[in-house]
Amino acid sequence: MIDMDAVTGNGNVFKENEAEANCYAARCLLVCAGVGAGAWLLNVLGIFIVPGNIMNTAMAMLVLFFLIPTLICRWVAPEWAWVKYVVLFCGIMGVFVLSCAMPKHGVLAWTLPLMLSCHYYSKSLTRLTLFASQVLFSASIYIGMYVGEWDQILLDAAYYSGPRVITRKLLVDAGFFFVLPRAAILFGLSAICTTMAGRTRSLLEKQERDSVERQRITAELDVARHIQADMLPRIFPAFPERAEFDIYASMNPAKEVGGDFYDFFMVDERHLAVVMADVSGKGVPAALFMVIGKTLIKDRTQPGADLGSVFTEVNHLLCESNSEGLFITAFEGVLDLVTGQFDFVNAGHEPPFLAKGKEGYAPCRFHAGFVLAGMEDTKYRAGSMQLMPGDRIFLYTDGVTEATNADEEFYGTGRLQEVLCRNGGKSPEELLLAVKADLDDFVGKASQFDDITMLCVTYRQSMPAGQ
Amino acid sequence: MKITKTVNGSSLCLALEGRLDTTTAPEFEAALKASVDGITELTIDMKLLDYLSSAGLRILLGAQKTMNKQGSMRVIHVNDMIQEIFEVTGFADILTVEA
Repeated sequence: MIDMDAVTGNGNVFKENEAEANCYAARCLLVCAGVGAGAWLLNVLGIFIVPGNIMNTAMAMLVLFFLIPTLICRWVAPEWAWVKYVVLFCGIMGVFVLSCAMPKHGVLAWTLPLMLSCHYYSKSLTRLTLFASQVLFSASIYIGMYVGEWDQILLDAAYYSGPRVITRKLLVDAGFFFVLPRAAILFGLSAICTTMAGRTRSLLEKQERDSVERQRITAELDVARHIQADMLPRIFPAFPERAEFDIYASMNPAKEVGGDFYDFFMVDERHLAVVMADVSGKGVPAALFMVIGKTLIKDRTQPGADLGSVFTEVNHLLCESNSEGLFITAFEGVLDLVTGQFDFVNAGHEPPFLAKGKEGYAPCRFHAGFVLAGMEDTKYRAGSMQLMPGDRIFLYTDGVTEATNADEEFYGTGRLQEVLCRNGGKSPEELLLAVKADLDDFVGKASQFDDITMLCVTYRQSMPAGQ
Repeated sequence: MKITKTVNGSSLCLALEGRLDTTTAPEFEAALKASVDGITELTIDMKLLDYLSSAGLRILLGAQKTMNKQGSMRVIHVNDMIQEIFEVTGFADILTVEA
């Protein structure tokens, strides 16, 4: 049935994201390593003027730190839980080294780890990154004063007196006028990253819930479709012991559960009933209505019953349980295998095609009554005709004739009649396959919009009377 | 599908254009529901309607039932294809159809 892990949303999507985030963050750091290496090169070439020993040490460390995440993602595995800490730690350490070496420019890079942490959609991880950044980068200001490039703006003109002298007062002032404001700005900026992480996370959670719900509905519709398909007689040959007739039927449902159905059954030893019907509309309401309709028709078709009365009664019962205003177009026929008499009733359904003897298929011009479940007091009248051995009847729903190709053209009764006549001599099964193949050919790449349902019965020989 | 409404006192004309099928039937149903109150003469103009499926027939049937209670309904400018659908389905017997 349904995967409970998926329903409760145990964070698979976040685990997946974490691995991706590691890779993305590693890539970002790779770019930063490139920038660092570029600056290093410019300094070696003498275009930048940072003291060589500082630059050579700091940039080597920075490039190394920024490369580690890529190495891990490529050579170890990006999906392990500890990788994200290593990635962010490397990001912080690289910026820390930069900030120690070049305090006045490094400060711009302070937000880098925070921004990296946004990839993980985790507020707590972003907060942890903020905390580590604050501690280390504040420290870097002081460390930078001793080992880094000298930052003149650390010293107001009042203190600056040529040589690099770090007084106690300077240390205190640096705390107040550099560490504190910068930490405050970093903190302020972190709000963007925390909220973004939180917001993306909740979006992702919602998306996951929705997709779980969608999966559940799809699964249930699938079950419904199976139940519906199982209601139709689908085992062929259906009556291998009967030499008098041959029957075959098929239904190709459109995407969802639909409202088409066919049915055939022995009313008694010598009467074969065939039904072809189409419920208005599609989806679950149509499918449920189809179940009621099919059950009622079969139930009311008793030996000796007049088909007009059967439909009149079915219509009445359907009207009682029809708050949705659905209706069914239906054709039912009952063939007396002894005499060849074919009684039928038509409630607004496409008239069947009939092939007499060696002639081709032609549509029967039966009078059609109103659709089932349309009007409460509709009276239906049965018709009757005589079939001879060798005669064939083809029933279908409008999904066949209204199948549409990419040019929005209908398949139409003309094409149907043509393909029926071309394959007139074939068995019911071969005929249906031939029609389906022709239909598929016509429709091409256009999507199937309606159920495609067909039934063909051949009256092969009359049944000896008195059996 | 495009639906053009014309109200004249207690008579309402809905002109349909395009395809009336499963996808567009809810739109037509909503348009009917919203404007049929107090209407005694409902006219459905199908001059520009290209296609009518069973889902559309269902809405027509609902409209006919509503109008049976409060007035009358006519379906006008019906082309041959739609007329054939009305005849095959027996709708020709319950609707007032004019060519």
